[in-house]
Amino acid sequence: MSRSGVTPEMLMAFADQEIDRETAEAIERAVRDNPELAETVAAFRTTRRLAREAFGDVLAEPMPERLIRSVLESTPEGARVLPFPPRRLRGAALPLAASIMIVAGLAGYFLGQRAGGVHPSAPGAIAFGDPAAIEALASLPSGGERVVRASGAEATLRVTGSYGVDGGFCRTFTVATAAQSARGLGCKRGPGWSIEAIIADAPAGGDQYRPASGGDEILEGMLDSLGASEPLAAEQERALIESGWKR
Amino acid sequence: MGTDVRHQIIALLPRLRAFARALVRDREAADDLVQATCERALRAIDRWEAGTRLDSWMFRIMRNLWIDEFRKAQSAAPVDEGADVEQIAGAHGDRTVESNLMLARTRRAIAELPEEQRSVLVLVCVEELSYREAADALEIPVGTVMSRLARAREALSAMLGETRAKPSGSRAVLSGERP
Repeated sequence: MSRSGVTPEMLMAFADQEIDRETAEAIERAVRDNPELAETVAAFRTTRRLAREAFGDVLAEPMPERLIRSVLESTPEGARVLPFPPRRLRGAALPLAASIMIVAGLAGYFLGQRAGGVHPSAPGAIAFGDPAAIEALASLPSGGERVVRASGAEATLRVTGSYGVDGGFCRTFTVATAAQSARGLGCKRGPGWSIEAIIADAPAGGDQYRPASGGDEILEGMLDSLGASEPLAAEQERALIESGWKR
Repeated sequence: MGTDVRHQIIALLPRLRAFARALVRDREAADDLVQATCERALRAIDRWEAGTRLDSWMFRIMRNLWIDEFRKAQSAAPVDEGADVEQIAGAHGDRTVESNLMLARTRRAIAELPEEQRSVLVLVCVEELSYREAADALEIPVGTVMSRLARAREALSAMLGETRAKPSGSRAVLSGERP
């Protein structure tokens, strides 16, 4: 295994892209000449992918309400304001201070890239299930809207803002059926767009649980944790839509 | 208004749950660990330095909590393999039965690793921390992260290689698995 002075750890670091360029080039040469080493590197890549896939379901599972509630209802010690630059969602088209609720059992929140478990009649399900929703997210200017369909229902998806984030871009949107509405966040931080979060708006007069803070604030918090910039200006956004959101 | 750290924690919840499931097999108990971690983090939030990684810091809190309070209870918990397989098979109807089974096998193999290897594996390969960040979260040197991680993945390759009787051995399973 340690032939030509290459240890398994070095091959692993090479597979994980955790080594400097010089060492990487040396290992690349060694791997090219030695099928046994190449096999070891391939095995390290495979185990990484398998481990990731094995936990993909957990990452994509609907978030239990009790966890969200336990965080939102606690008061951080000192309740200090973090030094993030103030940034408001560009939401002139949104109802101000919309009362947002997290609906128990509606599995549309904080899903990863997969659509498993989304309630089929929820507007969130439409956004997750319909490739047209992803297409709308990639191509509509902020303020633009499009009707998308899934499972026989139709919903209006409206893009409300665009942001540069670490490693890509995110866009905020609302999605509404006749019966229900939600707001969400979709990001392109790799090859394609994925829906990162959908939060249902509270139906008027409902007395179900409502977090102290609104869905816009949750989305803002998510944007901040992704390193989001100020909202992109209309002309930047237009150029990005035309270029397919290339950085 | 500035951004509330609570919203950042909510954004981290899926990843916290994944790490908790690496430590605690039972789903409810794992969520208890996530909840306890969030509560402890929010109580001690003035000890988190803004600008440093919130995720590594919370993984560290979670693992320490697990060592202090959850480990003993967990060792007595029954292992529910059936639910594991069923959950994976049910979650993705679009996957082939074979790849669902491969995932179930991978989960089982990961569960059989010693905890110290399993934690490193999940922090790096699932949570996508760098070696340095994983070392910070686990409070161990980077060299230890690397040796544990390499051992974990070699063991995983070996375990998964044995689950399918292919003439060319583990190599065929590992490099030929991608469709």
